[in-house]
Amino acid sequence: MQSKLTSKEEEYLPDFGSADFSNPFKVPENYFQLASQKIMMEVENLPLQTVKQEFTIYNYTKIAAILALFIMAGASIFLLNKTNSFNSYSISAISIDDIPMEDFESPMLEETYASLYLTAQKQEDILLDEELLLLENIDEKTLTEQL
Amino acid sequence: MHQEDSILLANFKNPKTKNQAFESLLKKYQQRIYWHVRRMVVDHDDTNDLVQDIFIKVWKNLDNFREDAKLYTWLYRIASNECITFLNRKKLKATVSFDDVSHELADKMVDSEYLDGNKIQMALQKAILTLPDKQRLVFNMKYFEEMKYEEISQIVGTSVGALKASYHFAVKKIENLLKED
Repeated sequence: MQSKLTSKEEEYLPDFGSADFSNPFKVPENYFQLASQKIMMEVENLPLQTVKQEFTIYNYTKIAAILALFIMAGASIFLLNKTNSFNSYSISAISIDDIPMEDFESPMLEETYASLYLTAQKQEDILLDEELLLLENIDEKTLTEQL
Repeated sequence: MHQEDSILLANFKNPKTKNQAFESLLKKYQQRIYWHVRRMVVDHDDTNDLVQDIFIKVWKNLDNFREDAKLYTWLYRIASNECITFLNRKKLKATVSFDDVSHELADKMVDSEYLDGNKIQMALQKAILTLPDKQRLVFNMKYFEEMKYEEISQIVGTSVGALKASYHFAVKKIENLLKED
């Protein structure tokens, strides 16, 4: 059993008087020798497979976790793309025939389409105005020549 | 004559000398680890099982020991964790309070055939058993094994200041209990 209060360290160790505080615990005879033999037998008989198995199981778990992450990431990207393609008709591609009827129920598309319609109408109006202006400015002589 | 830890570790890494190195390690540290665990769990049979588990863990993990710390602080760390886990499991299993477990340990101490204490020794051991597990761990390492706070700090993962305070309170509590007796 270890001795105690033998070395005077700078750190405080309690002194509970002069009483004998040696270890009251005992061990069976030859215990340590027998116990170490038993431990040696245990470790020597540890199946290598167990370690290998643990290693393999650990690896499989790790691989499965990484695969699951990849699948989840792939699925997220796929879904994101799908959502984006639904919402991203390019302006040039829009034609009344290209848009499925049900898509008109989408408020966003309705709005886009309405704005395109208004732009087109505005352009048509400008053209009309220009034609009228030309007609107004043309003189009779030129008109006769042209005819 | 015990081998140096560095030689032990080098031999353990060599498959040809692995078993021999482990046997040397056992001879060198088995008794210290046994008493460290025994003071925590009191019962000899429980200690025997725990020490066996500890050294099997050491066998399995010694290859990964990075030599950042001393080998014996690493061994004490494993042993201390095993003791705390064992005591926590005991409390959970029995669904009893901490006081009941410490009483149970004290009863085991009195009934044990492997106990040879006089009245004052028994009083001290009983007083130590009233401390919380971690404080008891610190007290045992400081008082019985005369470890330095820096070493205990590496084992239990607590700052030196906190350990000093914990030890001081433990000593005061034990002194008061002994005076009452």
